[in-house]
Amino acid sequence: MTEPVKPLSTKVRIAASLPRRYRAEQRFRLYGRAAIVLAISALALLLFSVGAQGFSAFSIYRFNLPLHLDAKLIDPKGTEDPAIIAKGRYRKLIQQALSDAFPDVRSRKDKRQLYALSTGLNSVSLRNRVVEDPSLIGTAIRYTAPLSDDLDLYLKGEITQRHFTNEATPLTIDQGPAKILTLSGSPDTFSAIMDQLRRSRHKAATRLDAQAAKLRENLQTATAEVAKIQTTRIEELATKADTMRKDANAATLTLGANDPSILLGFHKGFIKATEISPHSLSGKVLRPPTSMQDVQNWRVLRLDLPERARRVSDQQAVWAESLLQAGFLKRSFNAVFFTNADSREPELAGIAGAMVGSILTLLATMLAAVPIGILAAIYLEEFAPKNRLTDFIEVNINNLAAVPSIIFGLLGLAVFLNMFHMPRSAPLVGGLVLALMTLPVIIIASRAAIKAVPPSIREAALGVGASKTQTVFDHVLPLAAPGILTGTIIGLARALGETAPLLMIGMVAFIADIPKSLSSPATAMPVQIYLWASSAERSWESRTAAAIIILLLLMIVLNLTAVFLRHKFERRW
Amino acid sequence: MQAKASSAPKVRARNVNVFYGSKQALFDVNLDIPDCSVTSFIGPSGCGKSTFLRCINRMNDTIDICRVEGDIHLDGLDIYARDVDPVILRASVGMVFQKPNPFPKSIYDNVAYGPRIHGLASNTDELDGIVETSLKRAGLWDEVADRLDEPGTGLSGGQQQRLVIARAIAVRPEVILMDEPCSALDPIATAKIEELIDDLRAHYCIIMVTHSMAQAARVSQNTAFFHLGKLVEAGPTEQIFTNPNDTRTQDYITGRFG
Amino acid sequence: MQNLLPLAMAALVVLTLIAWFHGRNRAVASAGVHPSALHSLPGYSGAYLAIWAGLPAFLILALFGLFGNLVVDQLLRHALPQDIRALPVEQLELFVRNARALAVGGTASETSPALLDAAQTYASLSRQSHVGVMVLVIALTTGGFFFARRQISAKFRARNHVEAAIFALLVACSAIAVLTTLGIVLSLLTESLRFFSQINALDFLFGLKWSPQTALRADQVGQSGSFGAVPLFAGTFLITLIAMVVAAPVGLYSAIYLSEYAKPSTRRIVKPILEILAGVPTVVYGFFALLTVGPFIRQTAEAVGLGAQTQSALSAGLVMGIMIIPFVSSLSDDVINAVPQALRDGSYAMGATQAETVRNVVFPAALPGIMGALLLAVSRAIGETMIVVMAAGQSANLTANPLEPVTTVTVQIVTLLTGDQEFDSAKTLSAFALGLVLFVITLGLNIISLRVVRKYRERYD
Repeated sequence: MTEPVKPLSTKVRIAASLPRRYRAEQRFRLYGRAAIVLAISALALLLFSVGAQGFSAFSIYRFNLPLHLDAKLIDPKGTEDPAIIAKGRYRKLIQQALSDAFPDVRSRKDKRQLYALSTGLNSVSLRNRVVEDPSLIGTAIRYTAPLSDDLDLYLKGEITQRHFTNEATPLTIDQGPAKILTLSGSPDTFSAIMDQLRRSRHKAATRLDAQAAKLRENLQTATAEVAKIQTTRIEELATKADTMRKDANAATLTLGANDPSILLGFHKGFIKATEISPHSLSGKVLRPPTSMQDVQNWRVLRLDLPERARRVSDQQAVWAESLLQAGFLKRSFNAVFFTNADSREPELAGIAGAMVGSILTLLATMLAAVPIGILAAIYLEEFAPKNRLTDFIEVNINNLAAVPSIIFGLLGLAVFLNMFHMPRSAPLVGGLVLALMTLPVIIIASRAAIKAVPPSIREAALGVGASKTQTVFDHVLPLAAPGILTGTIIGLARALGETAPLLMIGMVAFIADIPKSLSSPATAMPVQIYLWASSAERSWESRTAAAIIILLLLMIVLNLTAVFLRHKFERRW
Repeated sequence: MQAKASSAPKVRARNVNVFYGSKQALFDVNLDIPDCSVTSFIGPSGCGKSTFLRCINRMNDTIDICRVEGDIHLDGLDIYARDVDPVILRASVGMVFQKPNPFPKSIYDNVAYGPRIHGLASNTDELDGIVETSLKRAGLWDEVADRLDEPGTGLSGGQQQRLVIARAIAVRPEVILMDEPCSALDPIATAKIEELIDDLRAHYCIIMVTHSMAQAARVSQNTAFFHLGKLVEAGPTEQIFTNPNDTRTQDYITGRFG
Repeated sequence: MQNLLPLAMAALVVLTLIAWFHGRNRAVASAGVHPSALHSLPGYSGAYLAIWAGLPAFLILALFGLFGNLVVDQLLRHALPQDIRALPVEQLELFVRNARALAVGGTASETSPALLDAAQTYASLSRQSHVGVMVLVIALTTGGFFFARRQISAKFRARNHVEAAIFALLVACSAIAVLTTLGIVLSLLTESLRFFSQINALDFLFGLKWSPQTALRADQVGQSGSFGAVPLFAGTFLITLIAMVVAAPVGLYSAIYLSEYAKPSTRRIVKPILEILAGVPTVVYGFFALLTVGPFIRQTAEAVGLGAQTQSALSAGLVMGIMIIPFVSSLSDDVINAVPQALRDGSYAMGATQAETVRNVVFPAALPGIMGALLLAVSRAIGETMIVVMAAGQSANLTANPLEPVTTVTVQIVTLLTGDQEFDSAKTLSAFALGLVLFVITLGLNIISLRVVRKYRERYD
């Protein structure tokens, strides 16, 4: 044990190892940072995508249309009997108002399209208005109601971008055969439009090529039979692409079903282009112009998504544009979203029902879970003897806190609904189920708060002759209250966002009324979100996201309250 | 083996001031510590002796709010200079703590830890050799040779402390710092450690913080007395204990305060 | 009649308050001019009286509120004519439900003279039971009141009696946690046993085909349904695996970075942000998976020439992983912080860098605790419902391809129980069998991990 120490060689070896070790250190640090950045950006992406999708649902296009409350359609005999007034033909009145705005619409098919601008359910609100104030009958009123959700999306530019260009070159108008108008101007008037169109056709042809290429790739692995079908399909695609390119280069462009819609507006009318050459454009009249004189100022509306690929026809788009220009449509705050319950029509659907349902449910949860949870915590922390039974209860509570929430739903279904025959879909049952789920959280938080009260307080109280119960309720509990409150609020916030157990006890039904009591059928915010998210129509997406925003705001308020309480009353012994 | 004769001190501290945040813990400490001997730091609790010890291998760097001013030289090189890497410094200034802190690994891995991270062994035979030498030098080899695979945490307190010393020796340090190495041990284990320290003195500069004046008197050649963050007096142990210059030293040694 | 209950409750509250005041005054009066002669504060005498007057009646009212309808239903069943009582169970059930609806002025799905008769019987039975309960309540209240009133005197140990009552209340509240577990176990077990009486348990646990559609009526041509749950277990496992592949490294590295590297100021900001991730409702994650992650995965997969759908194991797993990150990181953070500083100091004093210290000393020391945390996270992932319901799909594919839709145990429970359900059919009951499996697995994981974590804490305390 006396071999010579070699400090130099040790130092040299350590120094040699250093660059490698510091690189490892840097890498390690980088992984840590990357993990945090990843987690935070996931949160940011989540919030951003919800925000971006939900933002547009907070405003909506509403009609502001003159409507004549024709007595013949409401109360033809002038009885003034509310029962008769309630049975008036309000849907017809609304349709009448729309027809008045577009007197040129004659055919049945067109009329049906026109009436689709306002959902039939709007007649309910009109009826209620008249029933409330029968003196309106026979007068002209302003009809206000939300625009159909598809057109609302269209006007918000969410179906396809609305490209407007304003032009100021003179055009002459010629009446062609039935419903066709031809506009002519100087040689290059329509070149720009044609270039646009050509580009989009070339792009479409390239897309077809890509499709064909992909099919060709798969050809080698396919069976003979499949290969035969696919070969034909590839040929079809190639021909189609060729035709498209040829068509794109023609001197005069004829617009087909795969082309963008090009709508020309002038003299308060609209035509849809069918044939374009550099100096003239022919199109089908979608809304007749007010005059046939030469026009100086006109505009072009290009909708890139072809008509057949969207739920809004060019005709409807033109009507919506005309109403918008005439001031009969206004974009305003979507109040309906906050005052209505669920509806089959997205434009009439709101979160008020779900919100009240959530509040009632949470109320039931609170009434059941908070007192029981606090009392149980007091027992376990202050009174319980240290024995196996107490241990068993503790293990029980800790495990319950980690039991999947859906299991509590099964418990509610089996016990509350099937055994006790309590009402389905009721906030009372939902609240009780959530209370059982929240109980462990409240107990654990309350125990921690009670434990944090120093023993000296208890000793002081016992020392002046207070009984154990008096000590706990008069001295320990008030000091533990802020901590208990904080834990309780956090537990309730979690209950507010819980969905799965409520599905089990039937709170997923479609409920179009705002619930009135703890036992009336209701749904809750998260369940409403689930229901809307599973609906197919596009307009539900933004409403779902908007409902999520509201739910998150509610939860943030709850959590901030908890944080605030913690800061305000936090005490360290 | 004869102690290396060296006139220059191994560790030289000049005007060392240490701050924890705004609170000053050490005031203008000047001290020379010779090589191949045991130097004890004594003084009442909170007097700054541990703080000064932790300055010597820059362990205070790991505490965010700690700031060290002044110069500490090891073999004439400033250890707080910009280009000094604490990793290299700590490899040559080992440290043993108050409570034995073996890693939750086997006895072998505990000792091999330092050589492994520093790349001191090029193959397993060499590593085995380092482990064996270190354990032998720490006087633990005979007790653990047949159970090197067992966890280090399973040893007794005294054995753990010797394991930790073996772990420190394994990277061939020049200085070993010991922060009250026996305070958590029983008298028998303490005696063994003291014996070990006396053996190790031949090869290393050992600096030890201790609460026990008897221990300081038994094992150290030099003693430094700290009081309220100041170095009151330092010198040969004999002189400090028999004939101190300062009355505060006198009072502490005779038990008037402490 | 239905509205009588809240009214009775309100009256009872008022009576209880009166009893409290009366008891207090009586105690004060009994002490005469020496209030210190009282054994207990007058408030305790009031509380004693209030408990005797209010509590028994309250319990009766509460029980009646919960089970009153049940009792009346049962009475009605006994009062029904023989031919109706001979009806099959479901029809009898419907008949009773309709009779009850008619009796309380609701709408019934059909009407018949027999039904109207039954409704009348129901109404009278209901009225009788209400009257009976009210009489009982009044008797209990007055009886309790006068019984307790006699006892109140200066020497009466009211406080001890009241405290005994409080103690009983505390014990009862703690027992609810145990009752909940018991309720879960019993309800899952009884329903599952009914399921296993129709379907072989081995077929359920090891069968490879899941298609629970059974024929609705006996005369209908249809499948008898097959209940092989292996595809569900496989789907659950696949999604959990993907989630853990995301959450374990990200959560662990964030925990390590936060506890070992980050400055306190960074920690103060980042930790709450991660907690937000834990507070987002799962249905929101489901929406995110369905409308953002799912389409993105589909497009990416298609771009590289792979077939994919919007609903896939990958999108559900990824999003679930994100959800679990804070869970893993906060639990591991606790565990890592519990590693004693002495170990770190020991490593630094050897000249180890920070990463070496973390990797070679802190991490091995924390490993048991971290394993516990990961197990808890796995149990969380297995039991998670909404994300998979929305993003994983319904089809019971037995596949390892993460781009295909799969289904899980929780998805099937939701699907089976949210549609129209007939009770007692194997289809509905199978949901409870799945629930039992889910409960057993998560309970096992929880018990193991809680034990591991606690053992680990004890080691360093």
